[in-house]
Amino acid sequence: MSAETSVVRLKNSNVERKYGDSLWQRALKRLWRDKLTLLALFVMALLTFLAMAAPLITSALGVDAETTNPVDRLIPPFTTAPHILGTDDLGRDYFARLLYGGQISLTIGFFGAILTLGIGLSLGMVAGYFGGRVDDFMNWVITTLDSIPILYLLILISTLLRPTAEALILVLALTGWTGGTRLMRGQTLAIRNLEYIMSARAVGASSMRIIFVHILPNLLSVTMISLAGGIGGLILAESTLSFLKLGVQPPTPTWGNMLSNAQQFFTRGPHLSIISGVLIFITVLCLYVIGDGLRDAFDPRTVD
Amino acid sequence: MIRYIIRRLLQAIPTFFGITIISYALMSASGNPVRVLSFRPDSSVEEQERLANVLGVNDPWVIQYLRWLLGDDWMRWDTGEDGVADRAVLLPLDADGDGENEPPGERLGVVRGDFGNSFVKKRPVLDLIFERMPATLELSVSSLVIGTIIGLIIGIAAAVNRGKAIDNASRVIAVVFDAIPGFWLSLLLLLIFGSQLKLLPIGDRCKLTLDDSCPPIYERLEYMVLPVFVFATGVISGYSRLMRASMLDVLGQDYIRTALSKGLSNRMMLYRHAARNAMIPIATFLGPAITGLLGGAVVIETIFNYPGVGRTLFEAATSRDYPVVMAAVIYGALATILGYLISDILYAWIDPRIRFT
Repeated sequence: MSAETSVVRLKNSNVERKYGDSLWQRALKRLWRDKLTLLALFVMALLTFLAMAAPLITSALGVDAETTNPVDRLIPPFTTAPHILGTDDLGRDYFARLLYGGQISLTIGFFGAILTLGIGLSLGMVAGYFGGRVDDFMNWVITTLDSIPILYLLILISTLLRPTAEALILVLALTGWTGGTRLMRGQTLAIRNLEYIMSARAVGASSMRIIFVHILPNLLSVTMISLAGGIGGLILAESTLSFLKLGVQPPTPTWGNMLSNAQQFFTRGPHLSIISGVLIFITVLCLYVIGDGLRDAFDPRTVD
Repeated sequence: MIRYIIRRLLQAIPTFFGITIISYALMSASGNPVRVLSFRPDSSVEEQERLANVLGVNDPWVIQYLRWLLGDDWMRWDTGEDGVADRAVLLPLDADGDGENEPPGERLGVVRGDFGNSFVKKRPVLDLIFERMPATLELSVSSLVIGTIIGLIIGIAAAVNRGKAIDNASRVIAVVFDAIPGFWLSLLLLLIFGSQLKLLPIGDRCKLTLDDSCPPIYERLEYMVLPVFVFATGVISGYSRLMRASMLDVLGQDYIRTALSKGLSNRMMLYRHAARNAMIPIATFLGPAITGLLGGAVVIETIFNYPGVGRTLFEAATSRDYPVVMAAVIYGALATILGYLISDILYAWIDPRIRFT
C-alpha cells in the first residue's frame, strides 16, 4: 500500500464521518436511544396487531362481537370463560368488542390523519409558495373555519348525516385540515426564500419542480411529527363523537361508542366505564409521546 | 390602541359572514328542513307546492340565505296597513300564484337575533340559548380562573426547577391531561366519587326543584367540583406548558442577570421581573382556551346533566332540531371570535411592540 492511497483513504473516511449521517439517519439513531418513545412505539404496534388480528383471536377464543345473550349480561371481567373481559349490557363479549372497536378507532385515526395531512401539505405548499391572492383567500377560509369550535362543526355535520366509519374519516379530514395547512404554509414560507430555491429558480426550474423536488422532501420530517399527534387527536375526536352517539353507530363497536351507555351500569357493570377508556387513553398517550420523541429526534438543535 | 381595536373588529366581520355561509350551506345540504315544519299528512301535492312557495323553499339559495341572515321584513312589506304586502324586492309579491299578495315578511334574520323557533320546544331559539347561558358561564368561567392559576403556578415551578422532579412531573401532568378523553375522565370521576364513594352528586346542577331554578352558586358547590375539574384539565395543561416555555425564555434574558448581579434576591427577581414578563405571551392563549372550553362544554354538560348551551347543542343534534343547532354553532363561533379578539387586544395592550407590526 503506497502512501498516496492511504492519504486518499484517510480523506474519504474523514468525509464519511463528517457528512455520513443524513437527517433521517441521525433521527433514527436518536430514536433508538430514546427508550420512552421506543416503548410507546412498541405498545402502539402491539395494540395495532391485536386489533388487526381480531378475527383470528376471537375465533380462537370462540366468541364474537355481535352475538347478544340476555342471560349472560354484565358478567364482570376474569370470572367466566370464554368471556375474558366479561360481557356488556347486551351480553356481547367485551374483549371481542374491544378488539373490533380498536380496529375501527385506529383505522379512522390513521387514515383520517393521513388524509388531513395530505390536504394540509398540498394546500399549505401552494399557499406558502405562490402567496398573493391564493394565500389571502386560503387565510380567510382558515380563519373562518377555525372560528367554529371543531366539535361544534362536527356536530353540525353529524346532525345532517349519521356517518359510517368511512364517511367519518372524510368528515374529520374536511373539518380538520386547517391546522396542518397553517403549519405547512409557514414551513414553505420559510424555505421559499432560502438561497438554494433561488438558485434552482435561476437555472430555470419550474414551480412544480421546485415544490416537489426541493420543498416537499424538506417538509417530510414535519409531516412525520404531526402525523403522530394527528392520529391521537383524531382518535380523541372520533371517540368523543361516537360517545355522544353522533359518530359511528352501534352495533359497529368503537372505543368511543362502547362508553355511551356505561353511565347507566355504574353499579352492575363498572368495567364498562373503565376498560375501553383506558385503551383510548393509552393509545393517545403513546401517540403523543411518539410525536414528542420524533420532534426531538428530528430537531437539528438537539445535541447528541 | 383604539385604531388597533377598530382594525381587529373590522377583520372579524368577513370571518362572521364566512361562518354564516358555511353553516347555512351545510344546513341546506341536509335537504329541506321546512318540510318538517309544514308537515301535514292530508295535504295534496298542489297544496304542498303552494306552501313551499309561500315559505320560500323554492327560492334561489342566495335569497334563502339572505332571508335567514337578514330577515325578510325588508324583502316584502306592507305600506297600506291592510295586512297584505304591496312592495317587494328580491321576492315575488304573490308567491303562491293565487292572485292575492302574500302577507308582509316577519322574520328579522340572524343578525338581529332571530333564529326562528325550535322545532321541538316550539319557542324562539334565542330565548332557549339565553336561558342556558348562565349554567355554561358559571362552569367555564370558574374553571378558566382556577385552571389558569394552577397552570401558571405549575409552569413557574417547573421552569425554576428545570430538569428536576417537579419539572418532569409537570410535563407528565400536561401530556396526561391532553391525552385523557374528557368524557372518560368524567365517567371515571362519577364512578369513583359519585357511585362508589358517594361523596359527590352524580351530575345535575342542583337538587331538583319545582320550577327548575337553582340556589346561588355557593350553596351548590358540590355539584360543580367534578365538572369544573374536568374542564380545568385542558386549561391546566395548556397554561403550564406555555408558562414553562415562556419563563425559561425570560430567565435566560440579560435583564434577569443584571437584576441578580445588582444583588436582588432570587425571590424578588422571580416575582418582580421574571414571572411578570413571562405572563405577556400567556395572553395569547386565552383564545384557544375559550375554544377548548366551548368544545368541552358539549361533552361535560351532557355527562353531568348540566343545563348549559353545550348540552342544548347535543340535545338539538340528537333530535335534529336544526334552528337550535345553527344558533348554538353561531354562538360558539361568536364566542371564539370574541375570545381571540380579547386575547389579541390584551396582548397589544400589555406589549406595545405588537401594535406596530
